[in-house]
Amino acid sequence: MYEAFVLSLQNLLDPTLLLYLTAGVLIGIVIGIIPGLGGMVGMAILLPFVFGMDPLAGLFLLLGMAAVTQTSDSFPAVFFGIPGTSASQATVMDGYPLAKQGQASRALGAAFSASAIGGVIGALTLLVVLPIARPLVLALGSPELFMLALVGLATVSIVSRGSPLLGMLSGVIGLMFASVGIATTVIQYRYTFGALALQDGLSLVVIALGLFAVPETIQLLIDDRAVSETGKAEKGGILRGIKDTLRNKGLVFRSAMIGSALGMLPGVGGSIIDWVTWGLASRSKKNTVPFGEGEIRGVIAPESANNAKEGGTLIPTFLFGIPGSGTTAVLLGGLTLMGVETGPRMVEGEGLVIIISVVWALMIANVMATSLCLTITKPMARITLVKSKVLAPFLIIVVTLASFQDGQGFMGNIYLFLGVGLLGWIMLSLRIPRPPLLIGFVLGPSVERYLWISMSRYGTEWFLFPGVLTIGVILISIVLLGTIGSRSRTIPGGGLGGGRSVPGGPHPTTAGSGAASSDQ
Amino acid sequence: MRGLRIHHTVFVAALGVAFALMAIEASGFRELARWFPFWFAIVGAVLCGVGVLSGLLSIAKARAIRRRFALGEVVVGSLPPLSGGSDPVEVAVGRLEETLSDTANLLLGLRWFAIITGYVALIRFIGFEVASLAFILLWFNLVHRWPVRKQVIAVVALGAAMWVAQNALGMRLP
Repeated sequence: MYEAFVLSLQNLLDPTLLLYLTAGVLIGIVIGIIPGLGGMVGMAILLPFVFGMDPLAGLFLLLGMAAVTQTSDSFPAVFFGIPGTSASQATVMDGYPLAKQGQASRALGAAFSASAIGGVIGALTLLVVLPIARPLVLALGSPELFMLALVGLATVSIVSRGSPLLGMLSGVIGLMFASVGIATTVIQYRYTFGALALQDGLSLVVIALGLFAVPETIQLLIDDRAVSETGKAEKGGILRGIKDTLRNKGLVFRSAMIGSALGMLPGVGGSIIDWVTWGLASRSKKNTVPFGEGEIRGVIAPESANNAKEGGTLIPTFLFGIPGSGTTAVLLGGLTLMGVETGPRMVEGEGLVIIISVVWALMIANVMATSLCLTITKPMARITLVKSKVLAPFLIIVVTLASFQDGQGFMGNIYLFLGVGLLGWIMLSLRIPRPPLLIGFVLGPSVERYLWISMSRYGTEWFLFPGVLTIGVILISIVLLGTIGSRSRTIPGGGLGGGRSVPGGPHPTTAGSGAASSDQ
Repeated sequence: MRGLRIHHTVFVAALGVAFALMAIEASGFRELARWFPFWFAIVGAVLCGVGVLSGLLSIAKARAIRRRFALGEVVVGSLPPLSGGSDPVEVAVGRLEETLSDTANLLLGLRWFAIITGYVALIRFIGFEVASLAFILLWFNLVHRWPVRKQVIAVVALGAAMWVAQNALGMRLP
């Protein structure tokens, strides 16, 4: 172990490797800023270049890119309420309302510093957990993974924010969206109506862009103002954001640990991590502003978790050759191209040197990306002062192009984006919570796959597995927390949706920007 | 009443119909592919049923209170406030001005949405590059009435950005 540690440090002093890492970080920052392009697209772009490359150089290039897309994707999430990648879905919830209050720099300062700390914690988790991860990961069978998917779905009760019925409906729409395309259990095309664009299922990028980008752009146009309602950018916001992160170190650490742990679980972690951490943080008594209305802790929690996730997703990738996310699936292809064999032997000999080098690379990449992003935050934050009618046409073009990038580039993706955009606009106008739809969509395939495997393999015996029962208790706690929380925020007699917000919260019939901030 | 609850109820009813149609479609799938969409569509339809019922009751209640209010039987503020201190009439009916502004907001949004749809239609017929340049030109001409010099700058900037996206970032253009 000590020898591997020294060798990995020597690798770090190699200027060529550092150059590849820097190149990866720069590419990752650009990819994160552009909505619709995520780590997977970045991997696909870089993959042809790593063929035959020195494994460490290739890994530094790929991981440098993948580690930081989750950092720079906070720019569009905070500035326009558009998730840059699927990892910044929950950052939108409080980051965008903060930008509206003229506090975009503060939100980004907090997001970047939390990302850096989370990324470092995730990398260290990879180092510490890898030798003991094997029995942990193997202990989780399909029944436990199904229950974990249900835990993710249970966060719907938290993000529904006082509208349990509408929240559940939104979640079911997401689950139905997830069932479009080829079935996970048998060859059967569902709800494709012969359209090629639907055969592989709906794209998360298209759904996220349609659901958030179109409604927010339309709302900006209606309000005819800049994103920042105050018309000026806050001075010293970046520093304030960093201080916010340091003041909430417990939240940063907790969220990073949850991110790393869930990242380890193939098929369940990924996109749900930021929602779980956002939902859990929303229950804290330390919050000074209701979540969804510009509480800085609502930015810190998901940002810390989604960068920490990268370390976690690498554990099943290196240990079993099982990708923990789409990005690591492409990374696995890259490793094969470079002649790196994954498996249990990665924790010994040459493999261990590679892993410790990767840990260093992840840490340096996160710190590097944060420094770069913080440097460009101030000039970029001025974009929130630009009038919506100047900004909107460019935004429309960018998100339309982004929606075309996913999959095989069907024009049908753009039509879907438009359709989901209309649905998103109606949901925003009627204040139907939109995050449950995304959560349902992301978890639908896992719920279907793992329940099917559990039932066909264990019948009903798995209901009494200790792991299932333990996760079941967590599940019930989350649902109860969500239900009690929403009751405490609502008063009876609110008609459809189960209640109205108490005074002091956003008035439920306030049109416009308030709706955007409170009901995403 | 043109209140939001009517919008909600109509939307939820339409969703209920969609869920029912999805359940019917799912019943024709092979067994292993059927259960997930079928049962969740049923759950969705049931939730919509509950929603519509709740919405209709809410609308009826609001109308009854409004009628009593119009006849002078109820004076705003005369009934004991519900938890949270809101006026019961307001709780049941909602503020008229705001519900009207919600309707206006929804319709105004649909107008902007139609413009985005027009842009997508342009892409379909004349391709992304030309459609985007034409869209920007039309936008700044009609919405902003910018001087020609500014319009040219916007078009050139967009053209350059598209070139970078395609050639440097390897993005596909529709």
